[in-house]
Amino acid sequence: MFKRLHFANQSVQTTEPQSGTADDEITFSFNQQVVTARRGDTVATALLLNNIIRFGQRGGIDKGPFCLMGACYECLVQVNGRSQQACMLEAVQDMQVMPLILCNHDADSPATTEHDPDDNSQ
Amino acid sequence: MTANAAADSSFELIVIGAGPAGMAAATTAADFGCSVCLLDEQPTAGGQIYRSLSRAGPTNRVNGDSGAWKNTAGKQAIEILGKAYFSGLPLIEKLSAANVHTVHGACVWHVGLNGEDGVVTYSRQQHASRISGRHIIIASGAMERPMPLPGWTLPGVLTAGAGQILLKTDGLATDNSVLIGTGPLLYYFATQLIRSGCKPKALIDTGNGVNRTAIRELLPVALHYYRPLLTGLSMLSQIKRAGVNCYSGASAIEILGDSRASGVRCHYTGGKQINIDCDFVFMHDGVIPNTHISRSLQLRHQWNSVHHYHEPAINDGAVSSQSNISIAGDGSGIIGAEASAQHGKLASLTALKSLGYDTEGQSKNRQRQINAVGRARQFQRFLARLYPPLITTEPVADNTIVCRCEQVTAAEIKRCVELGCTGPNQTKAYTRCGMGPCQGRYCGLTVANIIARESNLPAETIGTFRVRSPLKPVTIAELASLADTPPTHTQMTTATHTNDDSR
Repeated sequence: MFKRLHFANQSVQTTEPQSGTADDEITFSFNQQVVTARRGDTVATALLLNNIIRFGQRGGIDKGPFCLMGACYECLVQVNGRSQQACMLEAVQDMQVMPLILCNHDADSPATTEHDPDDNSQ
Repeated sequence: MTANAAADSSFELIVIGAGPAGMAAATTAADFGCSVCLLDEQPTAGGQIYRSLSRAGPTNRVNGDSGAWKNTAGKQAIEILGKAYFSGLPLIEKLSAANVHTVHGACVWHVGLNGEDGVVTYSRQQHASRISGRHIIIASGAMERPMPLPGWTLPGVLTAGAGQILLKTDGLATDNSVLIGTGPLLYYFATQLIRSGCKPKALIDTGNGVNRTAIRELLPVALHYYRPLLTGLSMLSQIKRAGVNCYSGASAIEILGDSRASGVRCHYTGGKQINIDCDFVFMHDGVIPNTHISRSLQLRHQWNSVHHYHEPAINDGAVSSQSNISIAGDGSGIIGAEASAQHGKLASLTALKSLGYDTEGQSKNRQRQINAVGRARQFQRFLARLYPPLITTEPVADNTIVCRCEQVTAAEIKRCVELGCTGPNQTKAYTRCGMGPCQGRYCGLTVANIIARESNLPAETIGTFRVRSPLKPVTIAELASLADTPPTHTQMTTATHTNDDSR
């Protein structure tokens, strides 16, 4: 899984660890699961660091981040009922993020897909 | 809207994209006292190549002085990310000191013409704004070529560029990964992972090695490019020394997994098969120009048969087929970061001249820039011959998803051709291919290639998806927020260069 490398945990100007991790640490939720992040992280970064790689489902297919530069729209999640790109969205304290679940356009597919909350434990 | 805000919405020059080309274009214009607005989608300047360099992610609060990178963390950052990354600092520094109206977090979703002026509409924090400029420089850069393989839509499959973004922006790396594809960026990323202590499990190489055609392209510029050539050789030897399992001549690659990537299977040189378990896959098949804006404007484009992509037609001064719109950097055809900065300056000087500025004193610089860009295009032709895209050597397997957004397979596109589709736009109507949120960015080229192959027609005759605004999904609320902007005097139109729309 993804981890933050040593160099990213320190300021390069001083040899001290980056100022008070407690200050910089934030928590938010993804599909009701608590996720920790660092202030300034995008939602995509934070989820990857928490070993969450399935961000949603479209047409019955699991979706995860792909390009991380705002072009592919594979990392769409839901925040306040609005679909947003996790890679372009800064994580903030107490944000409630939900996976984006959409069905496909086939007539025979169900109108809504129930998402199993346990399904995101990866 | 206040008078002030109204005045702020009109500029002499609008530059779209703050990568090397955009930053250089904007600062050059500002040097002449030209009023410039620079729009960029990311929170900081640098583009994807120098992404997050201004803050170097959480790694530093350096004020742009690379000499300040003296302690352990700084040294490690330079060692892992590589010196080339930090070479973007002077451009970023120059931009932050220049008199440029820079808007970050701006997602451009319409570019049009209003009489003599260009009009750009963008959203920022869920609010849309419209600005006008007498000249527009599009510096929208590059994106990675779509690499459709069975299983490439599984979570856990990312592009190598995405892997680099995680490393540059947040200092993130993962072990237990497999790298697939070909091209300098893939090898560069492999060395970055090795230096991060996250050696990739395997590198599955689809390139076909040094060949005569490649050497022929290289000869005219070999002297100018000996440094990058040496860097390239050194990267390959680092990968070898680190003991990464390399499988060259790979074919029939499949990414395995149920709800996330769990492994890769492929054939390699000699017809042997290999099965590798992994948690993450990073894929890369070269880069292509990001042409959504220029295509939405219906500017003239051409098929580049060496690179196998469409590129906008521009003149020596980077002006497109529409006289007040220029295209600079990789968005005009891949030239690399250094040449992109030169091209940005060149585009800016040409635009300044047409805006009435005295640029006579710059004619020597101008020639130097033209030469540098020409050499860069030649060098990129060499790289294209050395690392040809997978689609030129192997057809896309039937069960492979081509359009990720709408889950359309290669078989469905082939069926469209059987039914008589002659171009990409008809496949939209049949399959919804290219109609999802990415607007065909990650399937357009593949669809064109499949149609060419299936119908036995040369790729240059196939054409592209017709691109229309909004270039990125926008909400009704964002559209409505435009009502706060003063109305434009005449109806907005797009340029009307002939473009076969019937396909």
